[in-house]
Amino acid sequence: MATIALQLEMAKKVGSRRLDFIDDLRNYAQFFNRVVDHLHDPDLETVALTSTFESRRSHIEWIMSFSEHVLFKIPLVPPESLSPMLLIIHEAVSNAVYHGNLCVPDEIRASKTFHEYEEELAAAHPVLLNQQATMKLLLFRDHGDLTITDSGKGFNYQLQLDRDHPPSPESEMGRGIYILKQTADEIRFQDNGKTLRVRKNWRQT
Amino acid sequence: MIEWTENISGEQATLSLRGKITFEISGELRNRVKAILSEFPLKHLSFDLAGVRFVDSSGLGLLVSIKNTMVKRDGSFKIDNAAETVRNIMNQTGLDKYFEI
Repeated sequence: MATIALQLEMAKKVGSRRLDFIDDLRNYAQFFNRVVDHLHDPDLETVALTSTFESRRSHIEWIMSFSEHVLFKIPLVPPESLSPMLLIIHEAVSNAVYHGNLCVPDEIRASKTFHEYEEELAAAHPVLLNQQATMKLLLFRDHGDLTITDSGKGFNYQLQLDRDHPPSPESEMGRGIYILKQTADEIRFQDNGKTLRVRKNWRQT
Repeated sequence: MIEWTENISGEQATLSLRGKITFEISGELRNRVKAILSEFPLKHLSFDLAGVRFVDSSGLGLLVSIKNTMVKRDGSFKIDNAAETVRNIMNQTGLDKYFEI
């Protein structure tokens, strides 16, 4: 059974609370119900969300859904920064899983659904779907930090970082890292591109 | 997660979408558009994005590929009612002009 691990640590001026979850997706709803009431606390100063998950669509949907719930419920992120931060998380997770771990070829992306590709991998190379990515999301009152590490071989990220204009409008791929660069305040790759660090400052109004 | 309703009449079709257009689901949406285009002699296709609050880079790629397909058919592809979050990502990537939103 594929497992997913998650740790949510919430710190206030006085005291902190840590909730851990290591299980399969069947028990996710129970964990979420246990967490959700703590997210509204107006005294929260920092929230740290750490997750290790496998390269499966169900895990990606789970981690995205959970991240969105945390982002939109805690009192730390101003409304205008919610969608940009969600976009950063989504692009970073996609990049780590689809490019880093699974190396999904462009022709597959243009011709198959991810469900079809996942079924093919499950039959031919199931070990690929077990490859993990680890995400750490730190949310403060003035900014958010995201670090994500995949299990792939890395890539030539400098080429992508040096690009100062978007791909041509007719291009059907290649916008992910450009969007990250445009949306974040800082973006850094490490370990041959296997680790991505992104910082987003909240705009003070 | 994405869901949509279809309104097809003569050479024109509108898909009204609700949810998020992301990598996980873009293949399913692309397959449905392909099926519609092979079944109906469409010249004009539009997506009503009033119910879409999030599009990622793969979702943008899908929208571009649909527009490219319609242009090859001497047809048109239009996006209506894009939310501010969707407009922002289109502006960032220079696609606002391509889609004329």
